[in-house]
Amino acid sequence: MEEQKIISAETERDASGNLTITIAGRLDYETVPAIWKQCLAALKTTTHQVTLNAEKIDYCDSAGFAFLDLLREKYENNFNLEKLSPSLQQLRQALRNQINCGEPHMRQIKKIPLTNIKIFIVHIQKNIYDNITFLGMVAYQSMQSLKNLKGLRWRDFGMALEDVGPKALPIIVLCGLLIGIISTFQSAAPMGRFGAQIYIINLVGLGLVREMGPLITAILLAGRTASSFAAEIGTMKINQEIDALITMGLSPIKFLAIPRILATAMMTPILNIFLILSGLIGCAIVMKSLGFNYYIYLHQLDVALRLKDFIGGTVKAFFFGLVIASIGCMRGLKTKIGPSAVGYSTTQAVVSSLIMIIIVDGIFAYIYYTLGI
Amino acid sequence: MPIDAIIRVQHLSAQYDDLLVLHDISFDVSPGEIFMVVGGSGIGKTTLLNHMIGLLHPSAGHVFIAGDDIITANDIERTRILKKIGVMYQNGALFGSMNLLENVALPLEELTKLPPQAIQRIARSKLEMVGLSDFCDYMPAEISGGMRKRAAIARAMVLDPKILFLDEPSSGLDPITSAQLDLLIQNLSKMLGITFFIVSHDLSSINAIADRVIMLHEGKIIASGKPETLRQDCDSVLVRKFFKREA
Ligand SMILES: Nc1ncnc2c1ncn2[C@@H]1O[C@H](COP(=O)(O)OP(=O)(O)OP(=O)(O)O)[C@@H](O)[C@H]1O
Ligand SMILES: [Mg+2]
Repeated sequence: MEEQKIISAETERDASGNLTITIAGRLDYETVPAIWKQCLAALKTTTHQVTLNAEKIDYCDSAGFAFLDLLREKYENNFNLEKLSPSLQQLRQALRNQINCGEPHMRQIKKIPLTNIKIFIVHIQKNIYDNITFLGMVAYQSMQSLKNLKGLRWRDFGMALEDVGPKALPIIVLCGLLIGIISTFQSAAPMGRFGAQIYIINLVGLGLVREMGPLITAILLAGRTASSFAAEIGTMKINQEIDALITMGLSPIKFLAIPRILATAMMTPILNIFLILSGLIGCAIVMKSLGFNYYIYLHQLDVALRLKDFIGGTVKAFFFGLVIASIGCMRGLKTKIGPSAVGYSTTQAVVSSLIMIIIVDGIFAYIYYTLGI
Repeated sequence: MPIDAIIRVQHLSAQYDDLLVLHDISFDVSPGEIFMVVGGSGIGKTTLLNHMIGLLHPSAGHVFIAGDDIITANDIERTRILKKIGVMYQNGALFGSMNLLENVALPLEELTKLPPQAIQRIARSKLEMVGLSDFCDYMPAEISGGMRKRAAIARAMVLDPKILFLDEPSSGLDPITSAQLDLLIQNLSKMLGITFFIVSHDLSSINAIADRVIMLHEGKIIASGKPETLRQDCDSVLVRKFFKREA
């Protein structure tokens, strides 16, 4: 016959509100949940003293002892455990035995109670402060590097140039082409209704050169470059390589950030040009299929675009590059410890870059508007 | 301050957020001494070292390196102080994107105006010193953990600092290499008068080379002295156990 899993708990309350629980049977991983529920229900009504009669418990495993310990923790001195058999007491001791490897018993300092809002505000304040300090350092170090070109890490600069520029070219060209084709195609029908299809060239050309080109380039670089800088530098941080630099007396900003930032700032306008060109090619292809030959296309483009549109876009792209690379490097340098830290920095790098791109774009829109560009 | 202490730590307290790791620690290290710090895992040895080299800011106290307070120093002063020391981190912290020779040569390239040939020669000789001359063009990821440690020591030594800080130099090394490393440290200390501040668990190397040992426990120094003395007649059971390798 199969041995039955017998477990029963009886709860008994006397006049003064003292509760006596009598448990009989096996108190183990399988039976504890039910007992736990039953006892909790019994304990809902106010109770002064809890007595657990353990005389009839014939087996108890870690779950059982955990249950007993939890009761004790909850009721502290008002909890009595009665008649636990000696063998079970021994078992309990054995399970409690720990290897003492001299783990540190470091003192916990009392934290000043801060409400979440306060923590949040302090956090934001610190973040803003950090960002401003970092930008200041970057600006200062960039100036120093430009003054003393010998001091620049040319090898890192070259590697960053290659990484940011040529390697990003395929995706830039692809996106540009797509955007040129799609926006031309989408405006073909509505413009056609007014017989104004020729002005699609103005629309797409101007849009690409002034706004879409720099913006799309920047967004692509935020996903590609800012994240890779943050991950790269973050890994170095975790690996204590940044510490090693500092103790050698080398500035991580000068050493790691400046070459990358300068390279990105230089490359972004160039990538922007490629994106615009491929966008215009995409536009030209669709326009051709609408019956406008390349001569008309170029002529119309020539009428539509002015040099200052192009310069405005290029300047913007330069600043986008500056911002993206700075944020990527800063997030990398600010990486905390732990296995998820690099991932977090990378995500933050992309998100902050995107936000900053929007802000910078807004600022430029305002400046160009007031300057009449 | 007297000249007889090249490193002087005074009333140093250190904490991470709400965890007090070091509490009011003071000690002196004399020039040319091999000074070792021992203590259980996670007790704050690396933390102590990081505070002594100015990477972390203590909540209280001072650290004097060759007479200059590294805690209150400004950036320029700190750079000057840091030139006097070399540091080997617990995990080596070699630059992953450079090969060993470039790693070792980096401080020379950046901080001196030596011609490239001289830099190469010095870097090579340091790698030879730690037995890695055949691995100059290996990347850190391509060599073993023990080799990485030795390369990191070579890099720490490359500017001939007066003081070397080593965080667990012999962990992960086989006994023979470890003994060779001990010999190297002893020679450097004897012949060049380099002061060593070493964090270590390795009893045999502690016994072999340490001039003086301090043991950290619960944020305090619970024992200090020569290793033999601590093993034989320290009042604290914990210390005796540690030095006799008992459970
Ligand atoms: N960056 C940090 N942030 C928060 N706590 C930390 C940090 N670094 C270390 N600690 C904590 O400080 C204590 C001391 O750590 P430390 O690295 O100094 O120990 P250790 O003595 O060097 O140990 P081991 O011998 O294992 O290297 C540990 O409890 C650790 O959890
Ligand atoms: Mg350590």
